[in-house]
Amino acid sequence: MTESWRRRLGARARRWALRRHAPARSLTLTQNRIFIFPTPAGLWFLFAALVILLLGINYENNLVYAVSFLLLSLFVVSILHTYSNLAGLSITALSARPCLVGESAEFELLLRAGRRRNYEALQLSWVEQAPVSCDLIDDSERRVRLYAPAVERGWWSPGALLIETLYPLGLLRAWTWLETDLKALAYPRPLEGGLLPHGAGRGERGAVASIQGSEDFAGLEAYQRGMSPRHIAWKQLAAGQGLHAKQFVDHADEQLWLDWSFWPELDTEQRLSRLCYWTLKLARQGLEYGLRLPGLEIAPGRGGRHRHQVLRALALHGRAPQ
Amino acid sequence: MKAAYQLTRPALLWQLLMVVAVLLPHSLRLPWWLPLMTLGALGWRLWVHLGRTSFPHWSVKFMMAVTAGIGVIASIGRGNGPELAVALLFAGFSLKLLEIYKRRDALVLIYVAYFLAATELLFGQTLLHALYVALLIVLITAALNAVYQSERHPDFWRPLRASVRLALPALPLMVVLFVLMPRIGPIWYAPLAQEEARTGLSDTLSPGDVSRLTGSSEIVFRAEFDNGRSPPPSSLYWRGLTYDLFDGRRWEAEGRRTLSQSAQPLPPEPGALLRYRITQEPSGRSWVYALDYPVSAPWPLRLLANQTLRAPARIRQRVDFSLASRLSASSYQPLSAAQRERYLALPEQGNARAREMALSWRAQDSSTEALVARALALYAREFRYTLTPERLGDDSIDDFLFDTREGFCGHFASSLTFLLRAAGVPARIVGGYLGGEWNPYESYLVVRQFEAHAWTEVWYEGRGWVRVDPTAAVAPERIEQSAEQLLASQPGFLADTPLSPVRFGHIGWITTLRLRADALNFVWHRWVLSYQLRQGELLQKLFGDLALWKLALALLIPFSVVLGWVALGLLRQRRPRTKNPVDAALLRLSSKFERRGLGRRPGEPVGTYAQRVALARPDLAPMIGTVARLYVQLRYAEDAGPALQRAYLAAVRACLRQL
Repeated sequence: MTESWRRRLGARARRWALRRHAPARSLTLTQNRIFIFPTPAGLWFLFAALVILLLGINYENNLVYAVSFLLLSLFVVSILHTYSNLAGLSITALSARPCLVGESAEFELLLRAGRRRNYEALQLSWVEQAPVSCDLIDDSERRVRLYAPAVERGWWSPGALLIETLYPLGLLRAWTWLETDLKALAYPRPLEGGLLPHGAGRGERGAVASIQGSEDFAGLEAYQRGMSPRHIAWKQLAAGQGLHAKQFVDHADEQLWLDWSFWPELDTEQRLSRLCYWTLKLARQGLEYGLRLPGLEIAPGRGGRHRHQVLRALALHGRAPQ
Repeated sequence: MKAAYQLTRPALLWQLLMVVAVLLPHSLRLPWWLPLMTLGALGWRLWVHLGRTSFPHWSVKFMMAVTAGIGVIASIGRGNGPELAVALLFAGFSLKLLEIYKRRDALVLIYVAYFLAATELLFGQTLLHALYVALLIVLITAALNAVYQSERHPDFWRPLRASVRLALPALPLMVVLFVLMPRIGPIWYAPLAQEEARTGLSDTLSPGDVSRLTGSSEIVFRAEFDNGRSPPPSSLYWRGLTYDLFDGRRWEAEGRRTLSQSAQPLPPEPGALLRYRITQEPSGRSWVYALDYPVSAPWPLRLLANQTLRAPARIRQRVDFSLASRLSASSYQPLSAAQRERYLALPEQGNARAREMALSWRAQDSSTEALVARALALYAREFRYTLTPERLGDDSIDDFLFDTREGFCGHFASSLTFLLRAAGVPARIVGGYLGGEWNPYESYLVVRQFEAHAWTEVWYEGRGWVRVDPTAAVAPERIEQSAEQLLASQPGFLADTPLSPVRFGHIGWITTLRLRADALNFVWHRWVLSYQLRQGELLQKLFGDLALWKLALALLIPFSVVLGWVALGLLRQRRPRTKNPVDAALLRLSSKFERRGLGRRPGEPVGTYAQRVALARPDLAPMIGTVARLYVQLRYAEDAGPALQRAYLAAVRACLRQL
């Protein structure tokens, strides 16, 4: 009950804080962005100072009074220290890596110390995600990787970034919310299953079943590190002809098409997920594949860049272009 | 989501250090087994930290807590509230050591440590105590900081530096609060037990007692005079109590019963009043010393019929009173019959020769003046002043007057009072101190135990009580000089404190040092320990009328000055230059390029940056290429040696020259 109430209040405060500033790629923290408030530990500290004050009053002991006042002064001075542990810090959003729905995307941020100062024990987190701690000690800049789970395919933003610190005494919490313009691409969640129907390949031997078999012996070549030991030509080795590897011509040069119309029984999202699964599978096997979606065709190809292009098309199918 | 914070190694070490420092001074006052238990818990925690054993099971901890609680209550007793509370807190504090796993546990320990540090000041308030507690607070704050320091860069010394940087500006703020915050009286009464037995005058006096006091240089009280000057030494008779009842060997102080009615305040006519302030050390007695003769008693003191001041309870801590005395004369109130009888009373038997002599004197001339003059003449002629007289027999007065003929103030006052009473003149002995040492640095008088003195007061019909000091007749220098000068040659002097600095009075710098130290101690007491007595006066002097807005300003202005200074320091704070010369050189180079519009972008790899610069400045391209290549090698190659670094630095220098 109180938990949800606190959460709602927190969300409200966050929205208010964020409305005051437009999302940006890079910014420096100044006083109109930093909030500061005592923590529960800080309130307990004040309580301890109060108890000590009562002790001083009751025994008319001026030195005990002084201890209480010293604690109070420490609290006041630590306000400045906590504040300055955020002030002047620059945050730059560097990059966001794409991920599958259900996985966490990696975001990279760069923290830079303003005027070459130390920043200790900072906590960075996306809304309601586990914090990552970092610092800038004897270092004027540092890259920080943050992770946030992707919920839906397409471009998405991890929401507001919370930077907070309790340093130096944990009595106060200084924090700032900021909206980066960082967006990550979420590929559809892979849906295992199905077979590529006959005719997915363009050549005669297009059946999926034959892809795995790469049986045609094509000759020998000198064995090099990294080659599969299964391909070592033991007969030749035994004959004293040195270490050779048998070379096979497999069907990797075969071109396959992943088509929107393959699984008519599935709805749109499921089809995209199924296509995503097959894309990943084919890419892992190093095959050449192309994609046909309504209104879009990506010619067969292979490699990381191609794979990304295909997955991106799946992720953004039916979505407004970025 | 909240992460479960584990404590770093420095955080744990700081806590253990803090625990030891907090408990050290307390441990002397606690039952002996409690510090041992703490050491055990500390050792266990360290053992856990080193991975040799595990935390105790909860049932073990529970048993330990119950045992410790019962043990503390049994050995301290429930009568002593504060001691018991501190001891229980101490026990809990020690056992909590076995429970620090997480941040929250550490915080409990640290906050309790602040409190325990403050309670230390209930038991001692010297400058040394205050400094130790200040040190403790810095230590505890370092432990608190260590809990929050960066987990990626744990460091043992950084928390201490952070703590000092916090505490330094907090000190002036504390002083401002201390001066300005109003003090209120105790909310409930909880006395602290203190030890009872102390040296000092007691309520019985046998002739040998005073010499016991000359063995001690302990301070009895200090006095400040409103006019800033000390009265002449011959009038520094500080009276504390009077003795009226003699049993043949000992004199007994006038009891509460006989002094039940208070004295009338002195009539205002003769002589100017001397106003002064007495700061009396704890004595465990209720009498308060005042110059002959106090005229009135400030609350809560009472002025008794024998012209002495009495506090309502035994004096167990330093107290301050503003007093006024008239040096010239005592009051004149006729003696009642009961009083007269009391001041003439002598034991039925004993000291026959003394009685006989007194009666023969009386037969010759019965006037009080003549009797006193005769006695003093006898002392001056045939007696010797010494701190180590021969022992006296059963008829102590006779032995002293006719056989040994040596002694000190107690002997003289006792025998004179006896003689006068035997001759029919009311007389009594006054116990107190004579003299004092003037401290020129803070303008006050210090009176020590060895200045203890006893003299006689004689009743003159029509004049009242008059001080007669027989010691002055034997050894006038005892009155004119300081006791220290006079007594220094006596074997019994300061026998209890062989290393007392007072002993080395003939060495100039030791005396100076001693006076300075005592002045510091006195100022400490006056302005810190009993500040509540002076706050009103001081604020009045500083601000005139105490308007609220003035107090607010007096609080705000120093706070803003100090905090502004801290903020300036924090925001302008510079780290020591990058230690790594490789990075420093690169920074120099890139900042040179930045002025030409070719700054390094945030997060840009050195290689990419070099390519970009090379495109813009083809003339420098080969040089920049070399710098970038060497930089990458230095940072990432395993075999980067000093030669490589020299080459790199040379390349950077060449590049800078070309620019």
